[in-house]
Amino acid sequence: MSKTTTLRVISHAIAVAILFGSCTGAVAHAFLDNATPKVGSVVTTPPKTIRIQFTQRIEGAFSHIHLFAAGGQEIATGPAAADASDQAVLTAPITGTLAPGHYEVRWDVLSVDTHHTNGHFPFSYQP
Amino acid sequence: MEILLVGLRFVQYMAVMILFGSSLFPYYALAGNGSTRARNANIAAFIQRAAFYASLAALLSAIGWLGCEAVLMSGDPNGYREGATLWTVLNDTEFGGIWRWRLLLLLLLPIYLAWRLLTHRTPLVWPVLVSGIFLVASLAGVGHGAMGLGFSEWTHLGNQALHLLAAAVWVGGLLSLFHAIRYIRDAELGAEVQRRVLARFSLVGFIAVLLIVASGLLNSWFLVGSFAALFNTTYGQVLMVKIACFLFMVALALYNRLFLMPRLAAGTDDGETSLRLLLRSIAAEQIFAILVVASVSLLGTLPPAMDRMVM
Repeated sequence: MSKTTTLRVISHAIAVAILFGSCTGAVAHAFLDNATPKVGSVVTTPPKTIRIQFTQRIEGAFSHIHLFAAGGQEIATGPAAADASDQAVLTAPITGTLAPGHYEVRWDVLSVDTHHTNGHFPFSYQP
Repeated sequence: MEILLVGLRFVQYMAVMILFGSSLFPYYALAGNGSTRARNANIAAFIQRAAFYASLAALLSAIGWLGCEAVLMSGDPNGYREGATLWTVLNDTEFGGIWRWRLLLLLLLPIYLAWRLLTHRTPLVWPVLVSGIFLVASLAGVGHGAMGLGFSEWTHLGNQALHLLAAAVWVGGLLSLFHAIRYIRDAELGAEVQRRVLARFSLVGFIAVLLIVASGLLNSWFLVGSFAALFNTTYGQVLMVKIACFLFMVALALYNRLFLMPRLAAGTDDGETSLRLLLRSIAAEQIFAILVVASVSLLGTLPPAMDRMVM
């Protein structure tokens, strides 16, 4: 390969690299995409489970969902598990009783690329 | 713990890249190139020795990496010595699904190589090469390569594997090249053999660089997302350091290809000066390669710049 060809190919590669810089792509790590009950919603019947859809697949074995009442006391929930048909979905059954009021769901998950993320969202139960 | 993980990742990446890249070298640089049994046996013996130490380093760092993941995944500082936690990591996570096969191979490989070395058997390169391909490519599945959903996940995974394999061809190949050039010089096998080995490595290195650039660009598309993120996120800044070191490697390779190799071929000096410069240049390339791998080891523990756009 001649010097000129070598230099030309390399300069083209660098030019393409600069052009590529402005592209956008997929989402990394697991963040909340949507949830049931919906984020900030008011529900009229007490939910039986909490279901969170993430932006990436998660490891159910190291992912958790906790539910807290407005006063700070924790409401009992069963162990969280990744959905068998969609590994980006984490669900946890609510085993405690919900009284009318405001609640906060706190989640922390391990994505399949081995990074932890966490967050929380509110919902209210008004029969 | 994160700092320890970065160190272990560095050892793991370097070791498996040496396993694959150094063992591929004889197949393109030496085969049919004025082969002599003594020369090929010498270089194969060097590769087998290097592979033994590299596989030991890979085994130890893989065990350490598993321990770190057990701590980081579980949030339990004693997770690395809790059998149940280690079992859950190996059995119930995607990381573990890949890691248990890697661990098995990394347990067998040093035993096999030690047996061959101790019994003074004719050095064999292909078992190291086959193991190296699996050990390098499978690293794509345990980091940011595993992210994403649907089609982009498989594209990213395949692209990351290609990126790692191409990088290993260059980084690991440099080690064998350095040894081969010194051996050819010391055994006085002639400038023509030396020139052909260099020309072949240069061509394969050039293809590897093109693959690294192309797959690196696609990776940036997945993980960085914007030109601005290169400057205002830690991930982007470390990536810039990595790219700078990579460009130094390319510059040195060009210096070898366009300046030193023609001088060696033309015999414009006593040959010794150009050869000494070439060996120094290859050594410098290896130092920059170490810096690139160190950056990669750090990048895998940082949230990709793309996350900043989501948050």
